[in-house]
Amino acid sequence: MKTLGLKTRYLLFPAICALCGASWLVGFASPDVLSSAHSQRKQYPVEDAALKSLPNAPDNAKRTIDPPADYRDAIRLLKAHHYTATLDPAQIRLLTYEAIRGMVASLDDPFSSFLDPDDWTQMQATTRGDFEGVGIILQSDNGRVRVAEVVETSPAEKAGVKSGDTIAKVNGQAVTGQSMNEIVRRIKGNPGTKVKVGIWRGATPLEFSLLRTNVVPPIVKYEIVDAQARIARIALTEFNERSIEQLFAAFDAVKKQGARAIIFDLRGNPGGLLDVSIDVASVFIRRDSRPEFQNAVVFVKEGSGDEAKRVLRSDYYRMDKMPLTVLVNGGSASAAEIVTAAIQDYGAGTIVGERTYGKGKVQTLFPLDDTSALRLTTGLYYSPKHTDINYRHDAAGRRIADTGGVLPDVAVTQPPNWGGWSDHKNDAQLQHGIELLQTKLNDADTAR
Amino acid sequence: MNEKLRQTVAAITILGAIGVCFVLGQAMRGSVHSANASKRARLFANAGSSLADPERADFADANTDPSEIFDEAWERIQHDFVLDSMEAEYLTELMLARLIAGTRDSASRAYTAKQNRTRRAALLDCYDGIGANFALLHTKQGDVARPVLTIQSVVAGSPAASAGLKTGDRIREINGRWIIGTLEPDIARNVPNDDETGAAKPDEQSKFPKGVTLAAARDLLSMGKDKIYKLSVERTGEPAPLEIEVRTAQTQSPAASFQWQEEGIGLLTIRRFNLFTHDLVEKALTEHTSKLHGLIVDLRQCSGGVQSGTFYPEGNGVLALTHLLGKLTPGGTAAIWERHKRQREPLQIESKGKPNYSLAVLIDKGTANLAEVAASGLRDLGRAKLLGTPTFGDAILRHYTELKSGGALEIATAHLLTANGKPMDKGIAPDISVAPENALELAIKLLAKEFKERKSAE
Repeated sequence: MKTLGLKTRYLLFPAICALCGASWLVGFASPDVLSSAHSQRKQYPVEDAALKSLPNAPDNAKRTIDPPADYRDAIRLLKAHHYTATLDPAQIRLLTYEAIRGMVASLDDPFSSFLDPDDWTQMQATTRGDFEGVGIILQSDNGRVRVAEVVETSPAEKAGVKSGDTIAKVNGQAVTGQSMNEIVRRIKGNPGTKVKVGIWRGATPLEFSLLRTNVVPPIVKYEIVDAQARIARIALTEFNERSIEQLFAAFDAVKKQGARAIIFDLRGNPGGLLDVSIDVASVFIRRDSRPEFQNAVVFVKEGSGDEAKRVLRSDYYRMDKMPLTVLVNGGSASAAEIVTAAIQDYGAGTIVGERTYGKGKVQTLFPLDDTSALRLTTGLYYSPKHTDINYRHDAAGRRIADTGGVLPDVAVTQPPNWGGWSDHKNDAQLQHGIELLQTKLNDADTAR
Repeated sequence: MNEKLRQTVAAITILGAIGVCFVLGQAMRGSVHSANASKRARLFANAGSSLADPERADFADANTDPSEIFDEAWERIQHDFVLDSMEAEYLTELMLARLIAGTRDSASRAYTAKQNRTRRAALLDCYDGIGANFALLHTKQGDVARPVLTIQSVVAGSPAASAGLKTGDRIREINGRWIIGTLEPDIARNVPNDDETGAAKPDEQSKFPKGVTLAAARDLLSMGKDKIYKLSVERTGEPAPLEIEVRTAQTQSPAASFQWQEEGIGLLTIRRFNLFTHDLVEKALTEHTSKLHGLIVDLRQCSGGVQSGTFYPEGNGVLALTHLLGKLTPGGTAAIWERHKRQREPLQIESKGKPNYSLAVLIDKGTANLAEVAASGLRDLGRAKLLGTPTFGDAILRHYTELKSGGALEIATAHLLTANGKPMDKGIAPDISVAPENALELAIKLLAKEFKERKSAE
């Protein structure tokens, strides 16, 4: 076996968006190196009275739970007895993957999974922060495939593709009866090449010739939402390696425009890298502002039982004591919740919106030796006040189901007709955040 | 807070937040969280040749022995998984179930320790549940063939027998829940216990609001006692599904028995091929051979048996079968095990004393598996007459082994062919067609007449 010591440890937070068929992001974050020593195999002996009482019970009624032993027996028995002659090495490998999937499924944890080499390859492609394509996100809808979103500044946006368009043809060939995956495969291709995509917009057929390129998604957006009070809004949509530089740039820009208060929009942010959440929290929370927390952003409890404290970084603070409001909703998860909970515990800002998703779990991705990989929940995290983000607990310390997430300081429900980023009018949460900050700025002015 | 509104707003927000979509690693896989979640995919993912991670290429080797990969995964789960939801026994059960399901062979199966206890007892002569043997027959639904939980045979004196269940009955619903035609393994966590209700687990309820998986339904009907189930059953010839109520209980049914009928005619009833069968046949024939003028071998509702190794000799049905054929025929090739197309092994019978009496064999639709081999072998080698209706056609030899965890594997090991190479999967046709319930009477008449003729010829 190759040594495990060479492997990088990948920390990740899955983006759990129950409502968008979602998934995850991985980053090449922590350089922690795994110990290369495989520890000794644990065995789980089971006393089985029922088995012993059976007539003709075998002598070894004391059975042993030892998954690798049963796995090996099963493979050996299949090879020896199964009537398919095709149990070749490739098939044995596939059966092994199924066996591993079975083990992982038994964990009853939606965030743990096994990735065969194909899954893993596909996932790596999504972790780089930039992607080859035309910049549209598709959605299948009753047998039709529609454009769900058009990525800003992408070739698709420049050409005029709109969300809601239905895909009709790719390179002149109708897509009738094709799965979304097939359509995606046909649209994708090498950067620099072109693809013709035919769509229906209502009853109108249109065709676009789209250049395939490297699409770099913007993950930070900012604007001045109240020119008079000089309130800026900064939105972060993902915690990845580009987050912090883009966030710093956004702060520079809004400060140049004279911002006096900040609305930090984390709605719909599914999380990302743990390290980046520390970076981001450090932008909003001043070091040593609450001595009792000793600069803790988050505590991470690991499988070994150890608890690691992650602390605020020096020189990241950009708020300059401006008042802060954080917008969150049910789509704010994982790393976004770490930041929200820390800001709340430190009293560094007011949390406005809805209860967050409630995922206080850290996943680690372990590449396995044959180019497959295992993703496991390896950590539980707690806020600086040691709140469990997964569940509230009752008086007896038991978890209460469906009580996870960070509760906002001010609960504001969004009207269903909200149209997204630029729809300020129907954005009740944003409006509430603005009002809060206006009051704070007025109070400060009056006091002065 | 209004939950629906909350979700709606979350959905809109998510759609609005474009960045989200860049991290939707497996977006194409759809969502199990929400029934109305649409499938999404990125167009900018997957970049062909540029995917390989140079760092990983240094150590990854696609040919690493799978067992090492398995061990690595197990070590990780043991040492790095942080939640307290890991149970080594359940993990082993699901691991084996998925591994066997990976063969995509519905004739092979993994049993949990609890399932094994039931199965092992049933392979002898003690049945839990409703007291029936099940088969998974594939039926076309639309354009896909789906497995349907079908009664193969009914144990005499069992709840299934008193409820009137019959071979060939297709069970469609249990306690008002439809049975989902999938071979996906479904093992209840903490092993089914006394408060089981047949209700689907919570996460299934969201996927299949009114369904119960085939594996779970089979467990309910073959394990436990004192539970009442309302079954909706399709029966060929009945215009509408039958509603049948059945209570589970333990049923003892001897694997084999011997009774005298009219003078000189013996009835050897075999319900299961195992070592009890072997011992009883040995004893009965040794004791009675001199007085026998004719022997009726009753294989109706006989579910056959399994092959098993030294670990589990008492379950070995093949031994009992070979013994029976040796006792009742002059020997020869009784059947062929076809392991695969190019590997056929004859089942060679060595005669242990050729009987000087006539044979009749009773068969019906519930005559299955090794019982079909017995019927066909007795006809081919022992010139026995087969009376009744065509047999089930369960033409697969299964190998049964127990594992260290207390579970077991039942592995389809060969197709069963008749001595002249004909597949048995369509069943064995009788020489004399007669309703199974009248077959015994007719066989007695037949053998009595034959004995009279032989006597007068002498």
